[in-house]
Amino acid sequence: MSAAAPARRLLPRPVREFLVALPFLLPSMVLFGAFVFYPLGKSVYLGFFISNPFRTRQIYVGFEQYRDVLASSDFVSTLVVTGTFTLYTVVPALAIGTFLAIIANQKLPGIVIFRTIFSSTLAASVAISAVLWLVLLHPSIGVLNDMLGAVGIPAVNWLDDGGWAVGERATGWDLFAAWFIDPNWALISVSLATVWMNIGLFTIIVLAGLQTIPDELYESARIDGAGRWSEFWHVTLPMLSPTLFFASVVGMIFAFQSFGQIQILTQGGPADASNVLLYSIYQTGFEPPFRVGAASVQALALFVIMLGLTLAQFRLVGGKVFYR
Amino acid sequence: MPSYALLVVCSAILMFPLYVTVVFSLHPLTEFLKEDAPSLWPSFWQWDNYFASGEGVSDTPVGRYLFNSFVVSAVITLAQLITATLSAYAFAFLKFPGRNVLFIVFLATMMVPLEVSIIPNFQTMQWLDAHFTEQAWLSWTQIRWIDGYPGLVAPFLATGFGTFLLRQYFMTIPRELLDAAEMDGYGHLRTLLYVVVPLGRGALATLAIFAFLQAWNQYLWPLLVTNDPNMRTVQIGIAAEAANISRINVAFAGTIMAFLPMLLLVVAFQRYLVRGLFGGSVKG
Repeated sequence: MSAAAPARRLLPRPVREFLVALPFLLPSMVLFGAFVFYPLGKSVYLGFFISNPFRTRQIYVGFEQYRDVLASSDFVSTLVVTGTFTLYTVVPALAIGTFLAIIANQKLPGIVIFRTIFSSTLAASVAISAVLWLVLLHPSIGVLNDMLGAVGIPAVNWLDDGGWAVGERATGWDLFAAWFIDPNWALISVSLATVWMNIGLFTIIVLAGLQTIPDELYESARIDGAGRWSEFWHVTLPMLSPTLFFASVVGMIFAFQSFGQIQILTQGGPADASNVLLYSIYQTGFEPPFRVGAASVQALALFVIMLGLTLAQFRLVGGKVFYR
Repeated sequence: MPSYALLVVCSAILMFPLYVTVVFSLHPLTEFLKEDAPSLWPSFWQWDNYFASGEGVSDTPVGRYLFNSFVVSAVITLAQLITATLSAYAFAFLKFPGRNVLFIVFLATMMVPLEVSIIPNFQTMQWLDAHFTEQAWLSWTQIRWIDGYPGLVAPFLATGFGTFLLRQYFMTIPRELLDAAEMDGYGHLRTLLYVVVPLGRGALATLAIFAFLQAWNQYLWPLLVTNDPNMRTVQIGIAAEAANISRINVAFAGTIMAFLPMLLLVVAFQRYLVRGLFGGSVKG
């Protein structure tokens, strides 16, 4: 530590500075090397090999496995499910979060209590929200079907009905139509638990965004005779749009990292109807026949998608997400 | 008044799944085995699901799961505070060749979520488990890489996010304070401990809350590196218990007990959370 030590004086200045900084950085560098960068390289390497279940024999196949996995219909269908899941989770959570943030942004006595309630689902883990929703959707003890039945809506086989995602898949507009005609209830169930969990976070983010909108804008809107709706469309929404964009990128990152709620509620089923990319990686790599190489290729695909999303998020945080 | 009505209705809808789970956690088991759906009001207030010896949470493995989660989360939080404070200090106050490149490398770790590298990381744990648990001095059960605390915490001990967060905050500390410390003959370690850390309390608290919340709520990694029910974290534990109808009321009680500490944490420290969400760019 002491820069005055005569032995150190003999070393060139940059080397000395580096040696001072090294002990501070070394713990993190070693850990990142072992658990972040090395695994990334190892994944690329594993993708070149096909191995038998006990990994006693590895056959080098080069880029063949990359091509096979990425072009397979299973992979494409996983991407369709993941994309749908992203849409099902980000859009509703964002809409509900924005609504809750706006009604919690009023200046009323005790409003803090409601802000706390609305943001509290942030504390829930995927496992907890999955169990909470299991209570509603469970085929035998779930209460939602009974409540729907009480108002005359027929029961839904929430966790076990894959709808359009089971059997022959439609494409293009037919697929879009099938979303409504033959809903994938398993994926919707998983999405419900995810939306509930994300509402808290989105409410907090939007509340922070709302508080950066200057009051003068609302005052001048009122002077111009704007009503509540026109205030929302012409002041709140435009001023909030960078925040909403940021929140939707965060939501997309979460969607691609989703695993627990799927494992608990549907195990990716029925017939892969709720099998998102990360769940597929888990199944391929950690369930017999342990296709580690194929799972690594899928993991790298996930990495590329996440990289794009994280870069977008950095841009937004670094740039002017919040008008202030 | 209508404003309050709307707020109350929204709160009620949002909290409904939680309410039902709380009610279910107080039902006797028979409530789940009968023909019609379980009642939405506690029929019997069976607090035993939480406390009774022999059948409640405290005596099922759920108690053990909670303990494991606490140990794992505490270790991860403490380790992240240490590693991130050290590296943030270097990036904020030390001049050394390659500083900017290295900082970008640290930031880049945020773009490689663990989910992407579960396979090689799991193989690393298998390798460590095969080579570093046989030795006598490490052979008690907890010190294992598969089914042990080291494996549960190892990939999470360093944090790019935390380094970034703390560095941003440390940069706002007035230069004069550090110069004064140097004049007083403080070395870097003493400056770090007695000047930077006390001034950076707020940022450290933010990091601690994030780290603890994230560690406590983890699912995928603990699922991969634990097979032994004794080493499960509470998240894996309640998911496993919820699949077991013969004890499902206790599973719900366990769910509430796993949720409550995080709920209190988030409610009590919301201020710090908001600050952390935006990487220190918004002063909460």
